[in-house]
Amino acid sequence: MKKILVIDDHPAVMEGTKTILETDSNLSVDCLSPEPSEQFIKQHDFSSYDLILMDLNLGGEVNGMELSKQILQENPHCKIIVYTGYEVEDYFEEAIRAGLHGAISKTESKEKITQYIYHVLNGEILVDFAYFKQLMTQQKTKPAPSSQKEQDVLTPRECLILQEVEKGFTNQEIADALHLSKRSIEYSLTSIFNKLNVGSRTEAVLIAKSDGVL
Amino acid sequence: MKNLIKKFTIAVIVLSILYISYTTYISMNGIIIGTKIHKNDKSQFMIEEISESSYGQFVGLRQGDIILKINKEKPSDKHLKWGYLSHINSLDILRSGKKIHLKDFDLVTLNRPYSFFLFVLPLFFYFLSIICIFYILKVNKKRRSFAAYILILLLLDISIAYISAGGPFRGHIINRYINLFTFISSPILYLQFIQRYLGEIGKTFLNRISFLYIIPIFNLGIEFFQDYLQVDIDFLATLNLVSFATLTLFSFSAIYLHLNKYKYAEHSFILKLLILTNTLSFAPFLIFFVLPIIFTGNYIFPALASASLLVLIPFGLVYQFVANKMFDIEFILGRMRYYALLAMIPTLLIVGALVLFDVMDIQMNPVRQTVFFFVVMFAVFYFKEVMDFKFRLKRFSEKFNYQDSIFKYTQLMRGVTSLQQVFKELKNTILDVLLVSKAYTFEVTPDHKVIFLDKHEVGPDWNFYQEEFENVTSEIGKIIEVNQGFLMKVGERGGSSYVLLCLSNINTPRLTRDEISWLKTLSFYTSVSMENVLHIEELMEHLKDLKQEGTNPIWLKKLMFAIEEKQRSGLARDLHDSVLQDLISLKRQCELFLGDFKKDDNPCREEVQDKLVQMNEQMSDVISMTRETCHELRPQLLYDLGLVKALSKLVAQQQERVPFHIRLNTGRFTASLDLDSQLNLYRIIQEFLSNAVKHSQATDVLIMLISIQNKIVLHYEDDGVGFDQEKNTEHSMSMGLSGIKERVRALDGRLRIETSEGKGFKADIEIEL
Repeated sequence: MKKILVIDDHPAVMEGTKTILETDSNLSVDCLSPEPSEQFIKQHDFSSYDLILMDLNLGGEVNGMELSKQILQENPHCKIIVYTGYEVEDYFEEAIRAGLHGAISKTESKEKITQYIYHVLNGEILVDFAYFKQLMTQQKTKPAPSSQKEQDVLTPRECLILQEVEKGFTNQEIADALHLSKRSIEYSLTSIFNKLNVGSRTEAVLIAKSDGVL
Repeated sequence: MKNLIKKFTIAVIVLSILYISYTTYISMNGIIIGTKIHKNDKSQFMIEEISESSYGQFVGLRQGDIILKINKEKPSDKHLKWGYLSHINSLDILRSGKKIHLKDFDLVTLNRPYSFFLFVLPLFFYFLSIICIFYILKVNKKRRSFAAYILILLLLDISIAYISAGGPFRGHIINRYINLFTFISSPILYLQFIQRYLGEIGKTFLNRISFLYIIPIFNLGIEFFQDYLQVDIDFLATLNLVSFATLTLFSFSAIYLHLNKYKYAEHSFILKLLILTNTLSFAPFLIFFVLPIIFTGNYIFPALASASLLVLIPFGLVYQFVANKMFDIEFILGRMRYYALLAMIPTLLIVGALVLFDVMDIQMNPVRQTVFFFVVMFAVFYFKEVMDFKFRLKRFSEKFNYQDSIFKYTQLMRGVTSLQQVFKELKNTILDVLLVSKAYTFEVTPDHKVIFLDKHEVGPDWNFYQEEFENVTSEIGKIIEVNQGFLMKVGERGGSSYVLLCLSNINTPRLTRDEISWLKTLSFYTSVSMENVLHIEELMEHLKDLKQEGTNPIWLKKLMFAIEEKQRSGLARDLHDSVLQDLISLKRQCELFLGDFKKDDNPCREEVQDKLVQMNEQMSDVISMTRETCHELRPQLLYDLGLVKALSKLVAQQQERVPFHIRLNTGRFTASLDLDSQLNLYRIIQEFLSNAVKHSQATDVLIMLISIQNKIVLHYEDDGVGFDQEKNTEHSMSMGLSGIKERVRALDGRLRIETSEGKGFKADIEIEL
């Protein structure tokens, strides 16, 4: 018998979820509506539950994500799933980062919810393939500014060219000003675009400014 | 130290008074000090002893002379005072059996010029010094200056040196020492005073001066021991003069060098003044007496005559000390020119009179002369006053006064905050400079009613001037002169004019050109200041009103309610049009289905399932639509996860329904903003995108949110049709932009738009953190 806690501020949703989940005889469900007080965490013993379903928008000032973090601080072994009416993809990454076991939508079918719960009880989560793929590629294309690779640092000539770009000169004008060929300017610009991961001159200039290169 | 010198100074003052009384007594009685008379056993008056410097020596008496007759009478005790001769006009003496008649006693009895140089002038000098000392002491009560005491000592020193230099009491041996010491030490005291004075105003002059006293003490010593040392009396005199000349030249050069060194320092004018008075006073004595004596043994003018200008030094110092004014040297010279011209008159008068007296052989004794000069001088001063007044002769300094007073006035105006203060300062300034004794302020209403503004004062009878009051109001700075003063308009408010009435107790002082232009300038300044003050007062009133309304003015509340109501009705309409219709349709379907279900006793299982699946899908649609509406109303993601995430979602959502490609770059956005600012930026981007959808016909849109140093830059750029900013101010694109502009303002940021027809649209928003 696994004990599940549903935290939500809508009684109807709580009861509905309880009814759906308890059709599974292995699950027993408690419901809890939070109050916005400091004592809330201390008053309840969350460690006795195998799993918590946490709504995000708990009415008033209470934020489900913050509440989850606090619960995890007190009971690090708790397994919490974001249970939201909003789009799950938006919150998934943040939830994992905060140490929660992903998120599931309130609009999902009974089967999917129970399935997800069982996976989490086993220490696994279900991730949509397309979402996971997107997540992986994003990580690759968006390197953190601090961990810049050496080959991504602009050369002095590229900086010089960017300075001219900022003044609004065309490639030909830049070539004339720096005594270089137009082709070499074009080549350098491509290199700059690649290094800064940008698609336009304006973007390049702004990024360079932000990085303090200009 | 200060206490000590104070006591010392007072002791010296008292001693000097005693000394002066003593010498005055001797001078008045013509007592020949130093020529001792002895009545021998034959009842003969014999000169028993005669000292080196005694006047007895001068008039030709020798030790051992037997006096036969005094003033052609038989000598008796009434001609003696303390054993000395007194009141002598002529003497008949017997010297080694020869009878000699001596009658040249003018020097002793202080007749004619001797009286002036040996008695009147030194005494006059002394009295002046005493008056000065009195002023110095008075000033010094507040100042507590050490230099003051040295100045007093210097004054006493010089005046005693002066007095002790000549007169019948010269023969007194103590007097000789006093004279020698005071005479030689005067330059030292002078230097000491300057050193102290400069020291007290924070400047360094010479370091140690006291050692210079060795010189007078050395001189005293030689004088004292002259009998043992067998020094020649002429040599002694020269030595003393050399000492004095050395010290004087030393102090001259010290001051001059110091001046040269600090030519541009702020105290240079003090030094300049010192040099001036020095040169004027010491120079004649030095040039006409001391130096010729030292080098040739003969003087050009006698000591006492050439020393008479010494008066200038201490009084220069005294004036400077008492006034403690930072006047500049040019000012003084300007004045001096005026006084020089003025001094010509009495000089001519006196010289003329003297010549006349000489020709007509009129004898005048010193007392008469004093009275005569006093009357002349008094008449001159009075005459000067009358001239000044009658012809409005302006002293040279007045020119500075006009500039100065306007400058001061503008300085004062900077601090005033009320109309009363403006008027008060104006009145004070005018009363200070002009020859008027009273100034009043009036308000003249548009219907020419005159209201007296200085309620707490007793007003003049202004009904006389009703007509002038009406005429003067035509322009600011207009002046109308009346029989005892003038009226001037100094400002206006609404239709009312403010008029200043200045009156004099004496006759009409006609205003000069300078005065009129000065008054006009003053009135312009005043009217400007008044306007400012009035504006400030109005502003303060307004602020007070605003404050009374509280933090939520009524109009703002009304506006807020109106906005809220509008938003509510918009929301209600949206819900009514979408969710409600969908739900109603679902309910209809449900009812129909239920009706069918009841009618048909044997419903097809599959049919029910299909129906339910269909309805479930419809409900999912309603849910997602509701969710989207909610997100539109309140971007939940922004509240939960911040601006960058919310923007990603916004762009992802928009990308699905817009015909152009959106590129969002928030990779360099590191600033942490408060929720309101984030929401504002989110709404701005939303507005940009909705504008792009509606108007741009773009194919590519770039949105960058980036941190550059301590700024946040939001860059929007599309390659659409753009628009002409000048022409299309009513363009719906511009309308959409106005919302953005308001939000940028709320963010305290700067919006820069770059667009023209067919050239795309660029916008940069910069927000300082």
